[in-house]
Amino acid sequence: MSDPQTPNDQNPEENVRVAAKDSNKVTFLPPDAPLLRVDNVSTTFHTPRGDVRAVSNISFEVRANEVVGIVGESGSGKTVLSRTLMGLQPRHGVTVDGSITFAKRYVAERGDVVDGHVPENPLVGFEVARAKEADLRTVWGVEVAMVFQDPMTSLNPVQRVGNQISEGLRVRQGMSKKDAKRRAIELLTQVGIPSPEERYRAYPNQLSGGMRQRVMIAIALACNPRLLLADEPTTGLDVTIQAQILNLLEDLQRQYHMSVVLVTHDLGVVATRTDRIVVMYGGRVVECGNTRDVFYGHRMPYTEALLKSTPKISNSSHSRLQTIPGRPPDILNLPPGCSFAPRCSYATEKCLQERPELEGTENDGHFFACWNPLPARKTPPATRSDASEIGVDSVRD
Amino acid sequence: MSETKSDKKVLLEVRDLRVEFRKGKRVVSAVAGLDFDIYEGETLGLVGESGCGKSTTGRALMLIEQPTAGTVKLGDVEITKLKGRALRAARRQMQMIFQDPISSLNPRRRVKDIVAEPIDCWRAAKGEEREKIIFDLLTKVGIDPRVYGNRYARQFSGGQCQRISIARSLAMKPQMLICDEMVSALDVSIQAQILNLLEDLKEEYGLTLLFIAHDLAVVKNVSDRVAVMYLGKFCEIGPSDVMYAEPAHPYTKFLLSAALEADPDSPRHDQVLEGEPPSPLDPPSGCRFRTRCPNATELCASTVPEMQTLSDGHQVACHFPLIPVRRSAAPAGADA
Repeated sequence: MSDPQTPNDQNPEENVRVAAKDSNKVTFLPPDAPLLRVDNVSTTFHTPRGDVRAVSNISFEVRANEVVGIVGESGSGKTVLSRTLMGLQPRHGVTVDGSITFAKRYVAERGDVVDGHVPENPLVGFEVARAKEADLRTVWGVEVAMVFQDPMTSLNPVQRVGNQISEGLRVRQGMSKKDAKRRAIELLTQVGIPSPEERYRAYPNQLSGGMRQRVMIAIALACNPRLLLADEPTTGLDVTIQAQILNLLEDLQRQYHMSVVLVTHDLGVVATRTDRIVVMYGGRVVECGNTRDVFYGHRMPYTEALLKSTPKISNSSHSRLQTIPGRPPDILNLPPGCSFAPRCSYATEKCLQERPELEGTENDGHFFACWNPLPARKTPPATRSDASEIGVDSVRD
Repeated sequence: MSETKSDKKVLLEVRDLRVEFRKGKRVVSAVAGLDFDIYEGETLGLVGESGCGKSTTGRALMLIEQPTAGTVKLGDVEITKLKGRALRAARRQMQMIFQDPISSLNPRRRVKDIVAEPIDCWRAAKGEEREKIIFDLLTKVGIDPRVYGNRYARQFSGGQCQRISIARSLAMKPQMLICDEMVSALDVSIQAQILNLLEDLKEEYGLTLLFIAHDLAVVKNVSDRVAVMYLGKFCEIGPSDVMYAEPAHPYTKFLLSAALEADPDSPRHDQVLEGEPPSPLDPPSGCRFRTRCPNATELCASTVPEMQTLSDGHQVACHFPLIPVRRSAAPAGADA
């Protein structure tokens, strides 16, 4: 392959097992195949108190260069979903149903029988849901990487951060120690860490929360993944640091041509930084679609209630917020019908008994699950003007 | 409440409040000289990033943290001079609600007993009267005492625990509540419930609030006036609508532009505040914000900016405020 950044050709031994291992017959995906296709995925935990379905029948796609937001309150299953997508659920005590197909860069190996001609950038399907850990290691870091919520507990406290970045480069890309160090310092510079040579030798506890999150991002980016899963990457950070990290993620997404899945509870985080949104409630997708369609043309009452209960800076002081009565459902004990029905002001008898399925709208890719949806509205055209300058010096005399 | 300043009665008067912590020979000045008033019946919001001293300020007002210098006056009582029993009596007028609702309640006590504790401590009521007060308080915060009164605190969710905390803090009918990040651990839908409840109770009990939070949108929604804090000092203080519309301090402007609105059409600012706050062990000379301020000059490094009045109640501590200072403004306002 001509692309020098493709890590796999440097260490083909790591990629002995591909999805089509049994027959060695390789079937390529069409070049426009979605990067990640999640089809009817459910995650069930087997506990002494019975089976708990934390995530039920989730389907969505992530295309190349797309930023998808997954939004939900605590207990909605968004973290379980993101860990399932990465194949991080333990082998025992958890069942993952459905299929999670990742379009993986194909690396030729001995014994492969190729159907027809090889496309320019060959892609093969990789099934995450049933992959063995050894196979998952061929995609972790290289194809899919993850940034976790809490950078303190996800970094190794007794290893220098430089080592933690270069480890992936040495193991996955077979770089020499010296090259890996040079690249790691380059990455530290890229994620905006001042004096990267010094920081290379720092331990995580010597860095601030924002800096640690930058290190996590550097580790995730080390092997040029094509999909970055960020689970609450800015929760617990100050607003100004949050803005820095989100801008950094956006710059890197464009620079590396990555797709990003941004998991968050904060509608403000996804509003201006995603192409599409998936809204979760009680372990299910209740609405999904283009960001603007979901914000301005939502049909599901939960989406509306969530938007209206979020305090806004543009509200005047002492303005009353619309509240959602009750509290999020207990995942151990979900109601038989729509999970939101007990808190919904539009709920009818049917909502309590029968579960609504996702249905489409006239907007492309916009789906909602509700028996009594809000009336359809036209999504207004984008009016946002990017204010690139704050103009702090405007009044200086 | 009247609009003009002279009509408002000052409930809490804070002058030159300082809190210092010693670490060996080094001194961290967490709160470095605050002067402010809180008027009766108003809500003062206090915003700032983590480590700026906003929680320490709240704790120092209650004398949970002993101030190194300065005075705090609640009504006519100078709290900073009090000790022992007199201090405890004064604290009845000022109550605090903490961030983590679950750890601020004893998990092994019944809800009724938690709410009754202040009443029992002060022997304020007995028998039927005591029961009635508890019943009313729990009903008011939306916890049905007949169903939940005998349950243990550990059986409640975060939002419910925060309701119980509110009930407990109101048991002695305080004049003032200090809310330290009271909704930041809650989900959006629960947060809205608690904020509305707080507004209702404020109205009913005639409370004065100091609302400490890092979320600018939440603060705007509840506050009459807002103070912005950076490294132990106020940058700007003013009526919330005025200040959010026209921030005068560069830091306020950066904070506002970094806040994310749940609206895809909200303006995006690519210019964000660079770097991180310096260590309070070694604060910059002059203006504490100067190391991150794009407008900083030599004057900012050499001279500490004084609070200047821009308009009624709107003050800023900056040598180069973003909106012009009204020279003709009565200097009497400078004392607040």
